[in-house]
Amino acid sequence: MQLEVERRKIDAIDEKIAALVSERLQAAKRIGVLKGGNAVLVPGREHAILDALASSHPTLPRKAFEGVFHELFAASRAAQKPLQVAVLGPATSYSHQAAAKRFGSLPEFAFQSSIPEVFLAVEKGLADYGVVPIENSSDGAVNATFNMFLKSHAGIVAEINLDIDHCLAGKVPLSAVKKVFSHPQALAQCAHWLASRLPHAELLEAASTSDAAEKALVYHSSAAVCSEFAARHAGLDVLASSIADEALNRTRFLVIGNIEARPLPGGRDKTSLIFSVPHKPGALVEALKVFQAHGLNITKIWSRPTLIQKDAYEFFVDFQGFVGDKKVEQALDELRVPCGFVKVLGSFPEED
Amino acid sequence: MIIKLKASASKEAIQQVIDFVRAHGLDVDASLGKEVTLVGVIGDTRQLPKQALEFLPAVEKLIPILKDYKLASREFHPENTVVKVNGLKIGGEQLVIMAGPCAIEGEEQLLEAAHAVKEAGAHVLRASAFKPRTSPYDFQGMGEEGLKLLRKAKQATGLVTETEVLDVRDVELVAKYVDILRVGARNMQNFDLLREVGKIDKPVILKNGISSTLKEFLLAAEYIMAEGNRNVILCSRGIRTFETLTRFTLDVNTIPLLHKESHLPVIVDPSHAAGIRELVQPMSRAAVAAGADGLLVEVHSHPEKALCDGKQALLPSDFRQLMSDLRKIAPIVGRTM
Repeated sequence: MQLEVERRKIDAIDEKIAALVSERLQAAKRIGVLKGGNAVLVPGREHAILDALASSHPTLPRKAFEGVFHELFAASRAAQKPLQVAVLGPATSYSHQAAAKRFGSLPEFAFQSSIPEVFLAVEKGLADYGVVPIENSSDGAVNATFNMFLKSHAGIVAEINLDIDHCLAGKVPLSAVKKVFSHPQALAQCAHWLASRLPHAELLEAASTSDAAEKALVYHSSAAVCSEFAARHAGLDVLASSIADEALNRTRFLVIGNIEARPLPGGRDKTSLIFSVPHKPGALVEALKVFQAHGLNITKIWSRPTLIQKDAYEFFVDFQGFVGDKKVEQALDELRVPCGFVKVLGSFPEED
Repeated sequence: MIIKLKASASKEAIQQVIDFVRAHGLDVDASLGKEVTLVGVIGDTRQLPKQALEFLPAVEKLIPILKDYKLASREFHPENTVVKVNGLKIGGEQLVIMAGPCAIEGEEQLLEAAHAVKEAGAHVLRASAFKPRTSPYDFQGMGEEGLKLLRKAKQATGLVTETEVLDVRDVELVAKYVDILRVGARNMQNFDLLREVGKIDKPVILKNGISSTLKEFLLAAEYIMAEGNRNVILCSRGIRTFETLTRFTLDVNTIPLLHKESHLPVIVDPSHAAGIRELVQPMSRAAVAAGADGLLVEVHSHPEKALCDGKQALLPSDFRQLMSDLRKIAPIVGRTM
């Protein structure tokens, strides 16, 4: 009886939620018209909404309601126009997963076979945004992405942090699993778990974790070690979550877009830029002093040889601040004095 | 081996028997029929301590299977096996008609044939992307592109799809795209291929080799089943005889014989058996009258342009006629359409 009553309450709440979602989408559509069909992703605004909600509802689990709101944001953006997002493929790749985390599942994802192709799709306007990996906590920087930032007109509009985690997915109960497919690296990362929970299962190599998920769909009595995202995509059930023996790596992705897609300041922002300095003593110190002078906190600095000049280096810098802010603008002007080359890649809200 | 349980055995006592078998690295047949007093043991029963097993309270006696094929035999599984795929039941009361062109030649050809057979009442779309041809210079099939078209045809018509797999290396690929895999006559004793399709979670149609015995045929099915895939459909596709006016000869005997020896569904391919269009309809009617669970028929909208086996393909109008004839025969043999 009590159960029935509670269920009816939930039905009534769902009805209200649906009406509010519909109202929100209508409002988004009107905003889309006001914007005249221009870029619709405003990361700063979305962040501000989430922060405001978190502080006014401190008891809500942040992760859970963020997930709900990301889908809601995605639906609102889709109501304005269907987004095209270029990502490094194949489907269910980590880039795809990162993109889905940021954009929800509504946009059309265009899978590209290389990082330069993702940039190209954005530059040519074939896609509104692109998602590229920039840094991996176990392997370091992704050079192909840095190289493209030197040449490309595309800028950074947002960042995405993705924790790589494995699950065991299949169509049969755990006790019926006789074969486990995955990429050798993923099998190694879960070796202990597999040995203790599925001691008699045969471990079989697959080309990737996405491929493993497809194999688990095709072969009977089998399962795959893959992301929950890949499992859902293939239509498999998650038999066990977070099965890696140790915490796995985190990969950072960047969302790239054209100039008109640049975000608004959101309060907690970061700016990425590239500069090069002449080959003389103290040149780098001169450049860094500018940041110090304006109280700009550098969160990352990275050097790599320039492609053009022998023995010269380019520096990729992330600092806290927003282009358009007076302090930042002044710093950028001053930076152009000691540096031969300064290129701002974009300002965007900082992710946790 | 089969374990005959006492009719009075409790659930716990039966579970004890199952646990005993499993503890010795073997398994029991999960697809128990209505006769729950019979439990089939899967695996090499030589490793099983039979005296200890017989001593368990639920066990009445142990019955060895003397046939070379065990999992495929009627003794092991007295009930008919009904293969279920996307809501379709093969081997049940319903007569299942699989029809379509011999080979996938292009999108337009395949979709036209798919719609034609669907409208006539077929349940499964057959079409091959990989073709085993007598000459290496004949059309060899469209490969993966063809499989994609087959998936498209499935989306357009809702038909279940089936196609031939020729090579061990293609098994996984084919299984990703289609609902039922077919092992052709030329591959009936390709044991590596049989083992590989045995690992797949999709039904397999197995055709008899043109000069193999029924025992060899059932042993080929045993290969697939021993790998864990119990969803095997036997397909009688004619045998080589002295006759030269036909390509092969449909051996109608095999239909009741296979049903007697095995619990697996038996379907008939009248197109390859006859090889001549005029014979396909009468042979189809004969097969259904003899108790076949279904038919695998070639239908082509433009047989004169077919890249493969045009001479044995029915026109859509012939196929509609055949379906209407079968609707009359089906009730007489206790079948629905």
